[in-house]
Amino acid sequence: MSFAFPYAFFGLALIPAVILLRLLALRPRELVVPSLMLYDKLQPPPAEAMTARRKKFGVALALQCLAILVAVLAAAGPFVSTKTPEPRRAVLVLDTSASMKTKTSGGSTRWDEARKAALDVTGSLDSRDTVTVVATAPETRAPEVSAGLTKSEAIVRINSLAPRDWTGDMASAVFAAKPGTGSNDVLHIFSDRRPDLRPEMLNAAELWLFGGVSANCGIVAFGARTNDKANVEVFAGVRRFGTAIMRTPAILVNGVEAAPITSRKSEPILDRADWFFEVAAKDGEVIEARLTGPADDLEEDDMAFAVMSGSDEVRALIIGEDDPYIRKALESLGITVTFRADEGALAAAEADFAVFNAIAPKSPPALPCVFVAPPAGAGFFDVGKEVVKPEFGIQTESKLFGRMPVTGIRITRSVTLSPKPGEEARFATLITCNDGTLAADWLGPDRRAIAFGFRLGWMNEKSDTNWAQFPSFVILWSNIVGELTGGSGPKAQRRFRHYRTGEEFRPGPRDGTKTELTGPDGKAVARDASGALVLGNAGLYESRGGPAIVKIAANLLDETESDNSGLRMTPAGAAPAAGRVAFKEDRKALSPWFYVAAMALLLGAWLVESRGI
Amino acid sequence: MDRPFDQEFLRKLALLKFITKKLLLSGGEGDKLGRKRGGCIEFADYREYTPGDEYRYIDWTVYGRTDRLYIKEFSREEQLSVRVLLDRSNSMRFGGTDGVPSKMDYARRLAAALGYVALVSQNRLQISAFAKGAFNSTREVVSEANLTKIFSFLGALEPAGETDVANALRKSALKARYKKLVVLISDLMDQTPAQKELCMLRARGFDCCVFHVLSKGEQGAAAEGVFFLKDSETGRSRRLLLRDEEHNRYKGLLTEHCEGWRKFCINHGVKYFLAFTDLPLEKLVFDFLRRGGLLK
Repeated sequence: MSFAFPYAFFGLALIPAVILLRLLALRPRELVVPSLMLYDKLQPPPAEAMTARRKKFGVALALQCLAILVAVLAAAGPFVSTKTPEPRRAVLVLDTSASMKTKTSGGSTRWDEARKAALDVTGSLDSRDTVTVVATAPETRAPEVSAGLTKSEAIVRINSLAPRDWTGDMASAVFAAKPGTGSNDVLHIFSDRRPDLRPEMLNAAELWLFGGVSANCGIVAFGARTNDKANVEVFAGVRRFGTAIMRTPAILVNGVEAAPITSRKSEPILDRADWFFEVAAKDGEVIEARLTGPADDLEEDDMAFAVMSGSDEVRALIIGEDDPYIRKALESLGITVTFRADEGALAAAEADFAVFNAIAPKSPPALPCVFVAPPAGAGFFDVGKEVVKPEFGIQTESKLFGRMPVTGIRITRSVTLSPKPGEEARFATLITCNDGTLAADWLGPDRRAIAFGFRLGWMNEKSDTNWAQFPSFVILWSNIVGELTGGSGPKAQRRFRHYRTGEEFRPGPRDGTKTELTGPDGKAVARDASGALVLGNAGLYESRGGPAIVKIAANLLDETESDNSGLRMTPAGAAPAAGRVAFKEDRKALSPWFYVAAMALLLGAWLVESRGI
Repeated sequence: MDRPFDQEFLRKLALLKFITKKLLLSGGEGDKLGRKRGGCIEFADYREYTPGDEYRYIDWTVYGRTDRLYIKEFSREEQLSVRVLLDRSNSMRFGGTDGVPSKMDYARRLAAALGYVALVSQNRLQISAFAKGAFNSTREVVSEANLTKIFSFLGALEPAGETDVANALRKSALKARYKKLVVLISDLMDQTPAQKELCMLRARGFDCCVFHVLSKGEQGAAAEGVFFLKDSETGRSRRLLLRDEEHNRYKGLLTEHCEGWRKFCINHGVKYFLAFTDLPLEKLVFDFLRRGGLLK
């Protein structure tokens, strides 16, 4: 019950006034009579009569006060409103980008879940409501808008949609729907990522996110080229879950010096100054790349991904979930992709894990990591027991066995790296080729790099090998050329000694060499105000700065893909939200009833007082 | 109160005369026939001659027809003395609302009317206003020429003091040199019983008439609740709860009071008139008083 004129409640001040007046009236009054001659013969009132009179007065006063209260309520205009929802327009924006093909843990794809949710929302609408279905499209295309549909038409339309092998520009789709939305419209967005829109545009929307936590969160891409100045160019992009807005497109790090022996570049790559990406190179070849940072700064699902290019043919091993975007991106680079199987299919994907089983001997870590294998050749990674050194004493053979679709490489030995100068490291694995020839090839001019993945938990949880003692980790084997000395950490004076030649690599100064970078469209990549190259499009970039042309896979992924951070995620299948619904309000005034009640109370007070009822 | 009545009322009043059971001789000649025979003026009767009678009153004509001596008797017209006792106590102030005169006004007009009747009839008239400790009287007047004085006296009266009927009756009886018609106009709200004095007057041969003047509202206050009732004459207060029960009891007491006076008056040969102030004076005078035997 609401009141149309709440100021009328000031009328309640009448109640104490009435009580005061009534009490004053209760006092004996003086009445002058001609003579008391006859009145003297009247008996004084009995006590019972006075008591009864007081009771009668009290009841009458209470009824009068109640009557005033009810009258004031009546004057305040009480009413009861009944709301009938007006017809709504439901706007359903469905993400039809390729990522929606990703399978969820339940076996169905994100699109299946999104479509089911959209159909549920449509089914919950009133028959008077209209539906607008908007399907996303790439930025260069207009979104497909089907407006003014009935429920059945909308269901047909939704069922006709399917994800395509393209990106989805959610912003355009929402904009296409938004101008028509009124106060009675409700906007539903079905996607696997948060639309990159201003918050106020999403305030009225219901987001249905089906991506969940994805593993394709982090990218570290780096490439190197060789030239006579031994410059190294590194492209790196790292993204992490848990950071709502952070966008770290590929960073082009120029001028990494590889003078005469090695070059080293430390660059903050995240929003944290204590993270460094380091590359060491010799003669234009990357011989070491490392990502270092504090141990507590890694999230469960952080992932690094690296692609080293050195020839036209690059192979990558990605440890992580099978993501069509990564696959698509890498395949577009001509990279043969082998994904790690999920936990349930661990046994079947033994080869992938075998590599890391050699590193994590007790149990294979669920690493999101990338392993870039050497170029294709005969043979395979024969991770046999005979090649594993007993430094990892507790490891069992069975977990070490496996095959990789790369031949000719055998893990032949383990080496130790010294975290401190003069001290041997506790952990490292040396991978050599099976027959040594291949190993030599690896170390030759065409050798390939090995990228790495990491996960902190892997370090901390597998404490049986005391890996937690590593303040930061270095897991990189770049052609397995030697042992790393000089300490650890970004500030350590690292030295890398080639295990065969005994040469020691030292970090040298930058030479400031600039290179030209050509984007996928064949045009030179522009630089921003800070001088950094801006890689605006996904695709293969070519770096020309010397005799070699280095192809660099940059900006491979849509940076907003699966970025669910900072959003409330509506689980698929949940009840649709009502949205903001306008109502038609009918008011029923209650004042007459209150006035009647007040009159009845006054009548009751009068009867009690005058008639003693 | 120079002209309390209109001409029509006065004309009617002039036709009225007091009726008294006893012939009251006040010495002077008035329109009342005295019991004393002889004298002259108006033939009264015949009687047989007895020795010693004056010869001049022998009706020789009758002797000639009957051969017996009869003496002619004449009645002498004597004046009636009217004494009006008007209660001017404070309780007479009540009743003046809604066009109804107060008891005092009503009594004043009644006294004026009776006085007019008395003076027009060549009777003696004396009006006294009394209260406790106060007794003011006019001189005993005869002529109509004194009407103005009488009216002025009545008009100047203001209610004050307590009722004291007994004392007023006593004084009127003590000072009277001859029998009179005593007219008492009062509300009789007197704590001291006055019946004894009235009996005394009657015993001395006075003819008495009591006008019991009450106002209509005096039959009981309509209000209910607890009141401090204040006596208008004595100023004494009393706290009382007045409800219907008390009002009815009061009315009963008032009726009992009036009835007591009425019975007393009837038993003692006193004319008693209960006059409420809402009763028109004309009706009282020309109707009730004539039927009650006070006027004719």
